[in-house]
Amino acid sequence: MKNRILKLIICLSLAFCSLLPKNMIIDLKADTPDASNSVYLYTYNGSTYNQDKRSFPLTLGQVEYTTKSVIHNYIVMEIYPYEFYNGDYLKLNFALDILDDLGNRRAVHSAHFTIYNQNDYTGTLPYELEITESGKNQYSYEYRGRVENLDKPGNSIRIQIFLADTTVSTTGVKFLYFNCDHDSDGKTHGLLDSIITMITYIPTGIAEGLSSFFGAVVSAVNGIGSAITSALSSVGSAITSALDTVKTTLSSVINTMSTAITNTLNSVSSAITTALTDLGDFLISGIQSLFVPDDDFLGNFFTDFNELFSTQFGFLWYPVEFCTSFLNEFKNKSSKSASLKWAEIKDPVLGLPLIPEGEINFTSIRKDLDDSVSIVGTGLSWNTIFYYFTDAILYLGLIMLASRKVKEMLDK
Amino acid sequence: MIVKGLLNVITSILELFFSLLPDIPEMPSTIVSTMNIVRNTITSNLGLLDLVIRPTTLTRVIPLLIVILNLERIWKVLMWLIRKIPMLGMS
Repeated sequence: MKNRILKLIICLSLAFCSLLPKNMIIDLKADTPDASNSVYLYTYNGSTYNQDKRSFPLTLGQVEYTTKSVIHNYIVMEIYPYEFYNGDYLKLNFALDILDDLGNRRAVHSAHFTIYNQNDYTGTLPYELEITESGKNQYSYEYRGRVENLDKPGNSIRIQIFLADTTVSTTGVKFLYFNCDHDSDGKTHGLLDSIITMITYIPTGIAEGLSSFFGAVVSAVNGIGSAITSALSSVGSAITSALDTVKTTLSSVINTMSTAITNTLNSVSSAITTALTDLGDFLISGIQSLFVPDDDFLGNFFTDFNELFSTQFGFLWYPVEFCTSFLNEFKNKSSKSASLKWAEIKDPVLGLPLIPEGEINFTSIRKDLDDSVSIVGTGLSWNTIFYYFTDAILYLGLIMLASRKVKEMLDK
Repeated sequence: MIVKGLLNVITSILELFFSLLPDIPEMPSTIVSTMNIVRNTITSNLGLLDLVIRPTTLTRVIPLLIVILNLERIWKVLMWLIRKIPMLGMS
């Protein structure tokens, strides 16, 4: 436990140290055509130096560079941030404020970056910075580029500022060095770099470790939360499913019971109805059989009755038989044609025919009358109208006769 | 059943009564054939009624006419039968 706390303290200390600004060196130089007449005054953080070339431990700050009234084609400033290697990525932020002898701000044309190592040329940064901004009180620039084609590692950057108008004397230069970052490709460059890299990476490792640890904690918490949520969801789903099952079962049971009760009630109702119907039919058939004899019995009875009377009464019963046969003929007469027929009449003594058998058919006459004469608008023939008329007379006569009979019965 | 029993009783009584009497001879065949000719002449000409009366009307009217003419007798027979039923209480 103590070792872990000690390691943590060491890591935090290293991380704090890594966050401190690195010491960087800036060297301002003025490349003048008449250097002997030039006086260089450097002012940095309130101190003034009159050296031609001076190294300052700089982080961020402002350097004022003052000369006599000389014509400058370009101004050189040198920065010593750290060693550069091929593949390093540089991002340099700086600002310039250059005044001429009259105090006017001078325009800058471009900047050229060269890497040196102890004043030995090592290489040129691949791209020049084209100055395009103008009209501002203080020009801010940013250079981005990857270090390439170095003969050996560099430890300084010379920024060569080319002025736009080379005919105007420059009296002062203000250089604001903001920042110079580089992105190493991960190579080891000696013991110091290794230490720096280690110091750089230890906090990173700690941070990554802490990040990983907290990430793991967060992941674990998220996992616990997800597990709890999943479990609660599963429990909820199970409860919902169980409730659905119970609801379905209850619904099924209720439906079954309802159906059974309905069927039972229907069966009882049907049985009661059937019983009442059967009872009614039984009573009706009983009463009917009590009073009304069947058809076969009546038919046979009248046949036997007629036979008995015919045998017993002989010729006295013949008028009844004649009337019965006449009525039967009349009953079966519907197929007879409307015609007048007569039989042959013979001489009863000699047997000679007096009047031959004959027939006068009125069917064709009636048909011709029906086809030729009809009441307009009704479609009825005269014969049909006559039928209605005779029907009305007959039924009316029956009604009058029945009313008179009933009246006589009631009067008695 | 009541009507049936009554008719059977009537038939039995008549048979018993007629058995005591001699049979009367039948109608002579000559008269029967002559009456048949008359009947056939009449029935074969019943089609003439179609000219003035619908045949179905006749088959409906004639039974009704018989019933109406004998309505009083039918009523008496019917009431006599009904009074014989003790459960109706009309005796």
